[in-house]
Amino acid sequence: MKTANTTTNYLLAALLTSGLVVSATAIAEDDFRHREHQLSVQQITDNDIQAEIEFGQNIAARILGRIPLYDNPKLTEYVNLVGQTLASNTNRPELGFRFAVLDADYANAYSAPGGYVFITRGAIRQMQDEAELAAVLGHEIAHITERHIVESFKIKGKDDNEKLTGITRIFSGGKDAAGAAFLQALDQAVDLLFSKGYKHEDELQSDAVSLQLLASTGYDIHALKRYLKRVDKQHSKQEVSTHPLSKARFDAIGEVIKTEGLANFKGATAKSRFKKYTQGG
Amino acid sequence: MKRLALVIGFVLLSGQAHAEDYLYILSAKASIKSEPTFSSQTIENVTKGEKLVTINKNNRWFKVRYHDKEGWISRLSVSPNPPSKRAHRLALNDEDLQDNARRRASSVSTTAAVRGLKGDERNRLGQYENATDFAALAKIENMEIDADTLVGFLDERPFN
Repeated sequence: MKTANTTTNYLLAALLTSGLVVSATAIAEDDFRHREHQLSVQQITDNDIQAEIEFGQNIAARILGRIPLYDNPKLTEYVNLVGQTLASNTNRPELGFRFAVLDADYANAYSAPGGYVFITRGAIRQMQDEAELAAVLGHEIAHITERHIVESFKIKGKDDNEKLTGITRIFSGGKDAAGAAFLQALDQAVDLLFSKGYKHEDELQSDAVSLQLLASTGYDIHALKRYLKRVDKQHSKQEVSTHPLSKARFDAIGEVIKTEGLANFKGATAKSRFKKYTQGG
Repeated sequence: MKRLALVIGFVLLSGQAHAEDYLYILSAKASIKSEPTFSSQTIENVTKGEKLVTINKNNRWFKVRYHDKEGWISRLSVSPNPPSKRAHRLALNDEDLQDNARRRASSVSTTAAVRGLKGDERNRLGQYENATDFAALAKIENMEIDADTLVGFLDERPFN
Protein backbone atom coordinates (compact mmCIF):
# COMPACT_ATOMS: atom_id res chain seq x y z
CA MET A 1 0.00 0.00 0.00
CA LYS A 2 1.34 3.38 -0.93
CA THR A 3 1.92 6.01 1.65
CA ALA A 4 0.42 9.48 1.37
CA ASN A 5 3.87 10.83 0.62
CA THR A 6 4.33 8.38 -2.22
CA THR A 7 1.00 9.23 -3.76
CA THR A 8 1.80 12.93 -3.59
CA ASN A 9 4.98 12.16 -5.48
CA TYR A 10 2.92 10.18 -7.98
CA LEU A 11 0.83 13.24 -8.78
CA LEU A 12 3.83 15.49 -9.05
CA ALA A 13 5.71 12.97 -11.18
CA ALA A 14 2.71 12.80 -13.50
CA LEU A 15 2.75 16.55 -13.82
CA LEU A 16 6.48 16.58 -14.50
CA THR A 17 6.24 13.77 -17.04
CA SER A 18 3.54 15.50 -19.01
CA GLY A 19 5.34 18.82 -18.78
CA LEU A 20 2.10 20.47 -17.74
CA VAL A 21 2.70 24.01 -16.68
CA VAL A 22 0.37 26.05 -14.58
CA SER A 23 1.47 29.59 -14.05
CA ALA A 24 1.14 30.41 -10.38
CA THR A 25 0.80 34.08 -11.16
CA ALA A 26 -1.92 33.40 -13.69
CA ILE A 27 -3.94 31.51 -11.10
CA ALA A 28 -3.75 34.32 -8.63
CA GLU A 29 -5.01 36.81 -11.15
CA ASP A 30 -8.68 37.28 -11.73
CA ASP A 31 -7.91 39.15 -14.84
CA PHE A 32 -8.62 37.80 -18.27
CA ARG A 33 -6.82 38.41 -21.50
CA HIS A 34 -7.87 40.44 -24.43
CA ARG A 35 -9.50 38.46 -27.17
CA GLU A 36 -8.02 40.25 -30.12
CA HIS A 37 -4.97 37.99 -30.43
CA GLN A 38 -7.26 35.02 -30.77
CA LEU A 39 -8.54 36.35 -34.03
CA SER A 40 -5.39 34.96 -35.55
CA VAL A 41 -4.50 31.31 -35.47
CA GLN A 42 -1.90 30.32 -32.94
CA GLN A 43 1.13 28.10 -32.92
CA ILE A 44 0.39 25.34 -30.43
CA THR A 45 3.03 22.76 -29.61
CA ASP A 46 2.44 19.04 -29.01
CA ASN A 47 3.36 19.59 -25.37
CA ASP A 48 0.73 22.32 -25.13
CA ILE A 49 -1.90 19.91 -26.48
CA GLN A 50 -0.90 17.19 -24.04
CA ALA A 51 -1.07 19.67 -21.16
CA GLU A 52 -4.48 20.85 -22.34
CA ILE A 53 -5.80 17.29 -22.48
CA GLU A 54 -4.47 16.35 -19.08
CA PHE A 55 -5.87 19.47 -17.45
CA GLY A 56 -9.17 18.85 -19.25
CA GLN A 57 -9.33 15.25 -18.08
CA ASN A 58 -9.14 16.40 -14.50
CA ILE A 59 -11.83 19.03 -15.01
CA ALA A 60 -14.02 16.45 -16.77
CA ALA A 61 -13.59 14.04 -13.84
CA ARG A 62 -14.75 16.79 -11.51
CA ILE A 63 -17.78 17.58 -13.67
CA LEU A 64 -18.64 13.88 -13.56
CA GLY A 65 -18.06 13.86 -9.81
CA ARG A 66 -20.85 16.42 -9.45
CA ILE A 67 -23.27 15.17 -12.08
CA PRO A 68 -23.45 11.48 -13.05
CA LEU A 69 -23.61 10.19 -16.61
CA TYR A 70 -27.08 9.56 -17.98
CA ASP A 71 -27.36 5.86 -18.77
CA ASN A 72 -28.92 6.00 -22.23
CA PRO A 73 -26.64 4.50 -24.91
CA LYS A 74 -28.93 5.43 -27.80
CA LEU A 75 -29.10 9.10 -26.82
CA THR A 76 -25.39 9.20 -26.00
CA GLU A 77 -24.51 7.81 -29.42
CA TYR A 78 -26.78 10.36 -31.10
CA VAL A 79 -25.22 13.29 -29.22
CA ASN A 80 -21.79 11.96 -30.21
CA LEU A 81 -22.79 11.67 -33.86
CA VAL A 82 -24.07 15.24 -33.98
CA GLY A 83 -21.07 16.47 -31.99
CA GLN A 84 -18.51 14.63 -34.11
CA THR A 85 -20.10 16.04 -37.25
CA LEU A 86 -19.68 19.58 -35.91
CA ALA A 87 -16.18 18.93 -34.57
CA SER A 88 -15.06 17.69 -37.99
CA ASN A 89 -15.56 21.27 -39.18
CA THR A 90 -13.15 22.75 -36.63
CA ASN A 91 -9.37 23.19 -36.73
CA ARG A 92 -8.78 20.91 -33.72
CA PRO A 93 -9.06 17.38 -35.20
CA GLU A 94 -6.16 16.19 -33.05
CA LEU A 95 -8.28 16.37 -29.91
CA GLY A 96 -10.74 13.61 -30.67
CA PHE A 97 -13.79 15.20 -29.08
CA ARG A 98 -15.93 13.27 -26.58
CA PHE A 99 -19.60 14.01 -25.92
CA ALA A 100 -21.66 12.81 -22.97
CA VAL A 101 -25.15 13.27 -21.53
CA LEU A 102 -25.42 14.16 -17.85
CA ASP A 103 -28.23 12.98 -15.60
CA ALA A 104 -29.66 16.32 -14.51
CA ASP A 105 -33.15 17.78 -14.88
CA TYR A 106 -31.99 21.32 -15.46
CA ALA A 107 -30.85 22.65 -18.80
CA ASN A 108 -27.15 23.32 -19.07
CA ALA A 109 -24.03 22.28 -20.92
CA TYR A 110 -20.37 22.24 -20.00
CA SER A 111 -17.05 21.64 -21.67
CA ALA A 112 -13.50 20.97 -20.55
CA PRO A 113 -10.24 21.58 -22.43
CA GLY A 114 -9.01 18.70 -24.53
CA GLY A 115 -12.36 18.00 -26.16
CA TYR A 116 -14.84 17.02 -23.44
CA VAL A 117 -18.41 18.24 -23.99
CA PHE A 118 -21.30 17.57 -21.63
CA ILE A 119 -25.00 18.31 -21.98
CA THR A 120 -27.74 17.60 -19.46
CA ARG A 121 -30.77 15.49 -20.34
CA GLY A 122 -32.80 18.49 -19.11
CA ALA A 123 -31.29 20.60 -21.89
CA ILE A 124 -32.10 17.98 -24.52
CA ARG A 125 -35.68 17.81 -23.21
CA GLN A 126 -36.01 21.55 -23.90
CA MET A 127 -34.94 21.12 -27.52
CA GLN A 128 -37.22 20.70 -30.48
CA ASP A 129 -34.84 19.69 -33.22
CA GLU A 130 -31.29 18.55 -34.07
CA ALA A 131 -30.19 22.05 -35.09
CA GLU A 132 -30.85 23.24 -31.53
CA LEU A 133 -28.76 20.36 -30.16
CA ALA A 134 -26.02 21.24 -32.65
CA ALA A 135 -26.19 24.90 -31.61
CA VAL A 136 -25.57 24.09 -27.94
CA LEU A 137 -22.86 21.52 -28.70
CA GLY A 138 -21.29 24.01 -31.10
CA HIS A 139 -21.20 26.65 -28.36
CA GLU A 140 -19.40 24.23 -26.02
CA ILE A 141 -17.03 23.05 -28.77
CA ALA A 142 -16.14 26.71 -29.29
CA HIS A 143 -15.05 27.14 -25.66
CA ILE A 144 -12.56 24.35 -26.40
CA THR A 145 -11.38 25.42 -29.86
CA GLU A 146 -11.01 29.02 -28.70
CA ARG A 147 -9.09 27.73 -25.65
CA HIS A 148 -10.98 29.92 -23.20
CA ILE A 149 -10.02 27.97 -20.07
CA VAL A 150 -6.54 27.15 -21.37
CA GLU A 151 -5.87 30.85 -21.96
CA SER A 152 -7.48 31.93 -18.69
CA PHE A 153 -5.22 29.72 -16.61
CA LYS A 154 -2.24 29.84 -18.98
CA ILE A 155 -2.02 26.07 -19.33
CA LYS A 156 1.07 25.34 -21.39
CA GLY A 157 3.33 22.43 -22.13
CA LYS A 158 6.98 22.43 -21.19
CA ASP A 159 9.23 24.24 -23.64
CA ASP A 160 11.88 21.73 -24.68
CA ASN A 161 14.30 24.49 -25.62
CA GLU A 162 14.14 26.31 -22.31
CA LYS A 163 15.00 23.91 -19.56
CA LEU A 164 14.50 26.33 -16.73
CA THR A 165 11.03 27.51 -17.65
CA GLY A 166 7.63 26.08 -16.94
CA ILE A 167 7.25 23.19 -14.56
CA THR A 168 10.92 23.34 -13.60
CA ARG A 169 10.44 26.87 -12.36
CA ILE A 170 7.41 25.85 -10.36
CA PHE A 171 9.29 22.90 -8.89
CA SER A 172 12.04 25.22 -7.76
CA GLY A 173 9.46 26.61 -5.37
CA GLY A 174 8.95 23.18 -3.83
CA LYS A 175 6.86 20.11 -4.61
CA ASP A 176 3.92 21.28 -2.56
CA ALA A 177 3.72 24.51 -4.52
CA ALA A 178 3.55 22.61 -7.82
CA GLY A 179 0.77 20.33 -6.62
CA ALA A 180 -1.11 23.22 -5.09
CA ALA A 181 -0.81 25.32 -8.24
CA PHE A 182 -2.28 22.49 -10.29
CA LEU A 183 -5.15 21.94 -7.86
CA GLN A 184 -5.81 25.64 -7.48
CA ALA A 185 -6.14 25.95 -11.24
CA LEU A 186 -8.53 23.00 -11.23
CA ASP A 187 -10.58 24.52 -8.42
CA GLN A 188 -10.85 27.81 -10.23
CA ALA A 189 -11.67 26.22 -13.57
CA VAL A 190 -14.47 24.19 -11.98
CA ASP A 191 -15.68 27.31 -10.19
CA LEU A 192 -15.74 29.07 -13.54
CA LEU A 193 -17.87 26.29 -15.02
CA PHE A 194 -20.35 25.90 -12.17
CA SER A 195 -20.76 29.31 -10.60
CA LYS A 196 -18.66 32.18 -11.86
CA GLY A 197 -19.26 31.56 -15.54
CA TYR A 198 -17.13 32.47 -18.52
CA LYS A 199 -16.40 36.08 -19.23
CA HIS A 200 -19.16 37.68 -21.23
CA GLU A 201 -16.94 38.16 -24.27
CA ASP A 202 -16.03 34.46 -24.22
CA GLU A 203 -19.72 33.58 -24.31
CA LEU A 204 -20.27 35.93 -27.22
CA GLN A 205 -17.31 34.47 -29.08
CA SER A 206 -18.63 30.94 -28.51
CA ASP A 207 -22.02 32.00 -29.84
CA ALA A 208 -20.33 33.40 -32.95
CA VAL A 209 -18.33 30.23 -33.52
CA SER A 210 -21.45 28.12 -32.93
CA LEU A 211 -23.27 30.05 -35.64
CA GLN A 212 -20.35 29.54 -38.01
CA LEU A 213 -20.26 25.82 -37.25
CA LEU A 214 -24.01 25.53 -37.82
CA ALA A 215 -23.61 27.26 -41.17
CA SER A 216 -20.58 25.27 -42.30
CA THR A 217 -22.30 22.01 -41.31
CA GLY A 218 -25.60 22.95 -42.91
CA TYR A 219 -27.85 23.40 -39.87
CA ASP A 220 -30.47 26.09 -39.31
CA ILE A 221 -28.46 28.96 -37.82
CA HIS A 222 -31.52 30.44 -36.09
CA ALA A 223 -31.59 27.40 -33.79
CA LEU A 224 -29.21 28.95 -31.24
CA LYS A 225 -31.35 31.99 -30.60
CA ARG A 226 -34.53 29.91 -30.65
CA TYR A 227 -33.22 27.53 -27.98
CA LEU A 228 -31.75 30.24 -25.76
CA LYS A 229 -34.99 32.21 -25.79
CA ARG A 230 -36.98 29.11 -24.81
CA VAL A 231 -34.64 28.27 -21.96
CA ASP A 232 -34.65 31.89 -20.85
CA LYS A 233 -38.41 31.74 -20.47
CA GLN A 234 -38.67 28.34 -18.83
CA HIS A 235 -35.78 28.19 -16.42
CA SER A 236 -34.76 30.13 -13.41
CA LYS A 237 -31.82 32.50 -13.50
CA GLN A 238 -29.81 30.26 -11.25
CA GLU A 239 -29.99 27.32 -13.59
CA VAL A 240 -28.64 29.19 -16.56
CA SER A 241 -26.32 31.49 -14.66
CA THR A 242 -23.19 30.08 -16.28
CA HIS A 243 -24.53 31.04 -19.68
CA PRO A 244 -26.01 34.49 -19.00
CA LEU A 245 -28.82 35.52 -21.23
CA SER A 246 -29.01 39.17 -21.95
CA LYS A 247 -30.22 41.55 -24.58
CA ALA A 248 -26.57 42.21 -25.43
CA ARG A 249 -26.06 38.51 -26.10
CA PHE A 250 -29.06 38.24 -28.40
CA ASP A 251 -28.00 41.46 -30.13
CA ALA A 252 -24.53 40.02 -30.66
CA ILE A 253 -26.00 36.85 -32.19
CA GLY A 254 -28.06 39.02 -34.52
CA GLU A 255 -24.97 41.00 -35.47
CA VAL A 256 -23.00 37.87 -36.39
CA ILE A 257 -25.91 36.63 -38.50
CA LYS A 258 -25.94 39.98 -40.24
CA THR A 259 -22.18 40.37 -40.82
CA GLU A 260 -21.78 36.78 -42.00
CA GLY A 261 -24.68 37.27 -44.40
CA LEU A 262 -26.54 34.37 -42.80
CA ALA A 263 -29.99 35.92 -42.43
CA ASN A 264 -31.31 34.04 -45.45
CA PHE A 265 -29.19 30.93 -44.97
CA LYS A 266 -31.34 27.87 -45.51
CA GLY A 267 -30.18 25.26 -43.07
CA ALA A 268 -31.80 22.06 -41.84
CA THR A 269 -33.52 21.59 -38.49
CA ALA A 270 -33.42 17.77 -38.83
CA LYS A 271 -36.46 17.63 -36.59
CA SER A 272 -37.64 14.16 -37.58
CA ARG A 273 -34.24 12.59 -36.86
CA PHE A 274 -34.09 14.38 -33.51
CA LYS A 275 -37.47 12.90 -32.57
CA LYS A 276 -36.36 9.45 -33.66
CA TYR A 277 -33.31 9.45 -31.40
CA THR A 278 -34.74 11.27 -28.40
CA GLN A 279 -38.06 9.51 -28.01
CA GLY A 280 -38.14 8.14 -24.52
CA GLY A 281 -34.91 9.95 -23.76
CA MET B 1 22.57 59.73 -44.07
CA LYS B 2 23.86 57.22 -46.65
CA ARG B 3 24.17 54.66 -43.93
CA LEU B 4 20.57 55.27 -42.83
CA ALA B 5 19.37 54.83 -46.40
CA LEU B 6 21.30 51.58 -46.66
CA VAL B 7 19.78 50.28 -43.45
CA ILE B 8 16.27 51.21 -44.59
CA GLY B 9 16.91 49.58 -47.95
CA PHE B 10 18.17 46.43 -46.30
CA VAL B 11 15.12 46.25 -44.03
CA LEU B 12 12.76 46.70 -46.99
CA LEU B 13 14.55 44.03 -49.01
CA SER B 14 14.52 41.67 -46.03
CA GLY B 15 10.78 42.14 -45.75
CA GLN B 16 10.29 41.31 -49.42
CA ALA B 17 12.46 38.24 -49.11
CA HIS B 18 10.39 36.96 -46.19
CA ALA B 19 9.02 33.48 -46.81
CA GLU B 20 5.33 33.14 -47.55
CA ASP B 21 3.05 32.21 -44.70
CA TYR B 22 1.01 29.09 -45.14
CA LEU B 23 -2.19 27.85 -43.63
CA TYR B 24 -3.35 24.24 -43.65
CA ILE B 25 -6.90 23.00 -43.81
CA LEU B 26 -7.57 21.06 -40.61
CA SER B 27 -11.33 20.63 -40.87
CA ALA B 28 -12.59 17.67 -42.88
CA LYS B 29 -13.67 20.06 -45.62
CA ALA B 30 -13.96 23.80 -46.18
CA SER B 31 -14.91 26.31 -48.83
CA ILE B 32 -12.88 29.21 -50.16
CA LYS B 33 -15.32 32.10 -50.55
CA SER B 34 -15.34 35.16 -52.77
CA GLU B 35 -16.02 37.43 -49.78
CA PRO B 36 -15.45 37.05 -46.02
CA THR B 37 -19.01 35.80 -45.44
CA PHE B 38 -20.64 32.37 -45.48
CA SER B 39 -23.27 33.63 -47.89
CA SER B 40 -20.77 34.63 -50.58
CA GLN B 41 -19.97 32.52 -53.62
CA THR B 42 -17.82 29.41 -53.22
CA ILE B 43 -14.67 29.69 -55.31
CA GLU B 44 -13.21 26.31 -54.43
CA ASN B 45 -13.86 23.41 -52.08
CA VAL B 46 -10.80 22.17 -50.19
CA THR B 47 -10.16 19.24 -47.88
CA LYS B 48 -8.07 18.44 -44.84
CA GLY B 49 -4.33 18.81 -45.32
CA GLU B 50 -4.37 21.19 -48.30
CA LYS B 51 -2.02 24.16 -48.10
CA LEU B 52 -3.00 27.78 -48.72
CA VAL B 53 -0.85 30.90 -49.02
CA THR B 54 -1.84 33.53 -46.49
CA ILE B 55 -2.41 37.01 -47.83
CA ASN B 56 -4.11 38.60 -44.87
CA LYS B 57 -5.18 37.22 -41.48
CA ASN B 58 -6.75 39.93 -39.46
CA ASN B 59 -10.27 38.82 -38.82
CA ARG B 60 -12.63 35.86 -38.57
CA TRP B 61 -11.85 35.27 -42.23
CA PHE B 62 -8.40 34.96 -43.78
CA LYS B 63 -7.60 36.07 -47.29
CA VAL B 64 -5.73 33.27 -49.02
CA ARG B 65 -4.34 32.12 -52.35
CA TYR B 66 -5.01 28.58 -53.50
CA HIS B 67 -3.23 27.68 -56.74
CA ASP B 68 -3.99 30.69 -58.92
CA LYS B 69 -7.14 31.78 -57.11
CA GLU B 70 -7.61 34.23 -54.27
CA GLY B 71 -10.46 34.11 -51.81
CA TRP B 72 -11.46 33.94 -48.15
CA ILE B 73 -11.46 31.06 -45.72
CA SER B 74 -12.97 30.82 -42.24
CA ARG B 75 -10.46 30.92 -39.41
CA LEU B 76 -12.26 27.94 -37.86
CA SER B 77 -10.98 25.58 -40.56
CA VAL B 78 -7.28 26.38 -40.65
CA SER B 79 -4.04 26.32 -38.70
CA PRO B 80 -0.43 27.33 -39.38
CA ASN B 81 0.45 23.74 -38.45
CA PRO B 82 -0.21 20.84 -40.83
CA PRO B 83 -2.61 18.16 -39.60
CA SER B 84 -1.03 15.92 -36.99
CA LYS B 85 -2.06 12.55 -35.70
CA ARG B 86 -4.59 12.45 -32.90
CA ALA B 87 -3.10 13.51 -29.58
CA HIS B 88 -2.30 10.82 -27.05
CA ARG B 89 -4.71 10.67 -24.16
CA LEU B 90 -3.50 9.71 -20.74
CA ALA B 91 -4.79 6.18 -20.29
CA LEU B 92 -7.05 5.66 -17.31
CA ASN B 93 -6.42 2.06 -16.33
CA ASP B 94 -7.65 0.15 -13.29
CA GLU B 95 -4.59 1.04 -11.26
CA ASP B 96 -5.12 4.73 -11.96
CA LEU B 97 -8.73 4.48 -10.89
CA GLN B 98 -7.82 2.67 -7.67
CA ASP B 99 -5.11 5.21 -6.98
CA ASN B 100 -7.43 8.07 -7.65
CA ALA B 101 -9.05 8.29 -4.23
CA ARG B 102 -5.71 8.11 -2.48
CA ARG B 103 -4.21 10.70 -4.81
CA ARG B 104 -7.12 13.01 -4.21
CA ALA B 105 -6.90 12.68 -0.44
CA SER B 106 -3.20 13.37 -0.50
CA SER B 107 -3.58 16.26 -2.93
CA VAL B 108 -6.30 17.91 -0.92
CA SER B 109 -4.16 17.68 2.19
CA THR B 110 -1.26 19.17 0.26
CA THR B 111 -3.36 22.02 -1.02
CA ALA B 112 -4.75 22.70 2.43
CA ALA B 113 -1.28 22.73 3.93
CA VAL B 114 0.01 25.16 1.33
CA ARG B 115 -2.95 27.43 1.86
CA GLY B 116 -2.32 27.29 5.58
CA LEU B 117 -5.75 25.86 6.29
CA LYS B 118 -6.50 23.94 9.45
CA GLY B 119 -9.31 22.15 11.25
CA ASP B 120 -12.77 22.86 9.88
CA GLU B 121 -11.43 24.47 6.75
CA ARG B 122 -9.51 21.31 5.88
CA ASN B 123 -12.59 19.21 6.56
CA ARG B 124 -14.58 21.43 4.23
CA LEU B 125 -11.94 20.99 1.53
CA GLY B 126 -12.07 17.26 2.18
CA GLN B 127 -15.59 17.20 0.78
CA TYR B 128 -14.01 17.53 -2.64
CA GLU B 129 -12.46 14.09 -2.24
CA ASN B 130 -15.62 12.56 -3.64
CA ALA B 131 -16.15 15.19 -6.27
CA THR B 132 -14.31 13.34 -9.02
CA ASP B 133 -15.37 10.35 -11.07
CA PHE B 134 -12.50 8.99 -13.12
CA ALA B 135 -14.39 5.75 -13.75
CA ALA B 136 -17.10 7.68 -15.59
CA LEU B 137 -14.39 9.58 -17.44
CA ALA B 138 -12.78 6.28 -18.49
CA LYS B 139 -16.17 5.19 -19.83
CA ILE B 140 -16.29 8.32 -21.98
CA GLU B 141 -12.69 7.88 -23.11
CA ASN B 142 -13.39 4.33 -24.22
CA MET B 143 -16.51 5.25 -26.15
CA GLU B 144 -15.68 5.16 -29.85
CA ILE B 145 -18.12 5.84 -32.65
CA ASP B 146 -17.80 3.22 -35.33
CA ALA B 147 -16.59 4.83 -38.58
CA ASP B 148 -19.36 3.19 -40.61
CA THR B 149 -21.98 4.50 -38.18
CA LEU B 150 -20.68 8.05 -38.56
CA VAL B 151 -20.59 7.77 -42.36
CA GLY B 152 -24.14 6.41 -42.32
CA PHE B 153 -25.24 9.30 -40.11
CA LEU B 154 -23.63 11.85 -42.43
CA ASP B 155 -25.16 10.20 -45.49
CA GLU B 156 -28.65 10.45 -44.08
CA ARG B 157 -28.24 14.14 -43.34
CA PRO B 158 -31.17 16.00 -44.79
CA PHE B 159 -28.90 18.83 -45.93
CA ASN B 160 -26.60 17.02 -48.32
